[in-house]
Amino acid sequence: MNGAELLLRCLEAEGVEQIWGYPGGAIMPVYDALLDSPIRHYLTRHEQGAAFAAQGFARSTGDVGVCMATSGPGATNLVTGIADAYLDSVPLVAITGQVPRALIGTDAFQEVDMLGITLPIVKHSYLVSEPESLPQVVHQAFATARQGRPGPVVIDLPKDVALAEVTGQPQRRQAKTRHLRTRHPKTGHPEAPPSAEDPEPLDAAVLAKAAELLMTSQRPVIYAGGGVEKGSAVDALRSFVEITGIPVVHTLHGLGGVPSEHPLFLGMLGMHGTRAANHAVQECDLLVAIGVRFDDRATGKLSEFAPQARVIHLDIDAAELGKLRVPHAAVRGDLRLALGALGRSLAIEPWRQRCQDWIDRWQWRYDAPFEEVYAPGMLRQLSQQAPTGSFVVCDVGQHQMWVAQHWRFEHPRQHLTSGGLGTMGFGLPAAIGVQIAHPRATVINVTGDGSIMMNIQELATIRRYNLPVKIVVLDNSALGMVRQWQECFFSNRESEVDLSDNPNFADVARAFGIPGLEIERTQQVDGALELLLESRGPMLLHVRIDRQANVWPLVPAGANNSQMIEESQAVTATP
Amino acid sequence: MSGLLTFDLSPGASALERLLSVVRRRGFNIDALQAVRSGDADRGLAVELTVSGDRDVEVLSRHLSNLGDCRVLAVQSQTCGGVDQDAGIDRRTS
Ligand SMILES: Cc1ncc(C[n+]2csc(CCOP(=O)(O)OP(=O)(O)O)c2C)c(N)n1
Ligand SMILES: [Mg+2]
Repeated sequence: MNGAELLLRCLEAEGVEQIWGYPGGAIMPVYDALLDSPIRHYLTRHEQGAAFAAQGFARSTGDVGVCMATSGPGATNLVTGIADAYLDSVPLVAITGQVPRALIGTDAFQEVDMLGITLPIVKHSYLVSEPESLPQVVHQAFATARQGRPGPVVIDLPKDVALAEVTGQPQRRQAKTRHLRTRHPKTGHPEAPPSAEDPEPLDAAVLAKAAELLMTSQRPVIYAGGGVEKGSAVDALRSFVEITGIPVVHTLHGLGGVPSEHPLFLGMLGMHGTRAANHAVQECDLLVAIGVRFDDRATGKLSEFAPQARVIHLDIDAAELGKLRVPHAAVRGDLRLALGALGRSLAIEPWRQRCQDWIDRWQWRYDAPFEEVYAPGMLRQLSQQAPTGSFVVCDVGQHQMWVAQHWRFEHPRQHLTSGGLGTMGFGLPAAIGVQIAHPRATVINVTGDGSIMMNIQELATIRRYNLPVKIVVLDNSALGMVRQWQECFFSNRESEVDLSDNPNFADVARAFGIPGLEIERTQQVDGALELLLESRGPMLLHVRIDRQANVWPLVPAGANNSQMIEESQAVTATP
Repeated sequence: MSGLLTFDLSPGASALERLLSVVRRRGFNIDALQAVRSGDADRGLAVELTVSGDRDVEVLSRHLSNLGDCRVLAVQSQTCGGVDQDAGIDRRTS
């Protein structure tokens, strides 16, 4: 057995069933060994596509996703996907070929210092220096990627290590996390009970302090983010909300933590948040921050965020506690245990009523009599018509924010979006990973005319594996989000945002062997959505929308969250 | 704000590289650094590091604790209260 074969056996021992990747010189021994391995390899058409497909798998299952590339350009093409996984805490193992050990540091052909390049964007990285260390390295890499706050790990494998004769055995197989998990009753999504994985008990004194803060609060708000789903704490959050009756706002990654239709749900907060959510946070006297990192897109001007609030911050990662806002009670540990310990009924009826009034006052409206397709309304309709358990995978831009605002979310794991890095091009390949992980689910990629072009080559991957991904391209003939900012904050001086020479994306899809449909009027929406959702295979729906449509409300960068502007108030301001 | 941190690092130059990159990225300057091969059998590095910056050294030490090859042994820091907008950190409760 050589190192490459041992590597694949180690991956098997970690429960890996599929890998996304792209071959090349330094990784050839592993590609050779793949021919005799039960692990299924999916060839993407760009390494970035492989990293995002692996992320799609990881984000939608909670398991570790694996991607692979050769040294040099193959490895550097993975970097954006690795950084994206780091900022969104996605468990990913990236395996890269490396030049033989004797050539490392000699500027050899296709040599890059992958370990050095990725240092600030990984949880950990390994350059495998001895073939015998492979079992330990792979085992540790998977443990690191999935434990605590998940994240990416790089394994850089010199070609001679992959070719060396070895005798080792994979380390003890870990039971697959996803099989250990119980299923969420409504969505069928995995939800683990608290386990001995994080043996550290919660700090009793801090819990007592947090309980006191809860009991003395008149106007509490739950501010819940992506950490809830990462910590398998969606059920715990929902119980906590039912018991306490505290109104909830979500970050982009928290959406679905409580279902969109829940009476206590105020909406997403922050830059493109709802008025109700931002208002409640600015007015609250207690912020229960759960699995969040006080990201600037959520908080607006930090020193004026929730100005009257005391803060309870719950997180698995101690480094988040006090990083940006020093909490009055910092609860580090398993969110399920913490939420279980803190649940109690609160007498806050007047506050709940105020929040309800705000929800009622600032409802979204979808009744505008437009000839042209109104994207928010169409997305709302699509989310209502999509079967239960459907996934929506976004790209980055205005369309991403419209999804966040108008989609009907059931569970955070069904909403995949590049939040931290905000990477255009994420959506199409990520949808591939989701569809492979959930072959029978409806997977909808909502993308923009700018974003889809960043990884459009992955249409070939969809075709090759006949993945029934539904692609909705919202085409505003522009890099819309940038255009909107130029309109609002740069005196409407448009600079390099025009995409009016876009191809017909339905034709592009057809060229890849995927059915395509094009619409531009409201009256075509019903029929198009029906066709899209009923199609058995992949399909691309090209939707032409108004170039000038903007995302409202908007909190300008650097402003506080009560300074939201609406369409009617849009004036030139400084960013 | 300054602080003295002591660590044990795993063997390999990358452990020190990782440590220093976190210190830099999290907004600290290095005022003094001593790294000597520790007496342990694994022959990693024993590191003493004095840093200064606008941010909380305790938070830096928690970031460093997240590194797989770095064991934080001790942190001595001087912190101050008040809202510290320059550092981008809200310390209203500290
Ligand atoms: C890789 C990458 N490059 C640049 C940006 C900056 N950016 C953010 S949104 C956006 C426009 C996206 O255009 P499109 O996909 O058409 O979406 P729209 O805003 O029009 O809905 C750009 C260029 C980014 N987020 N990612
Ligand atoms: Mg666009």
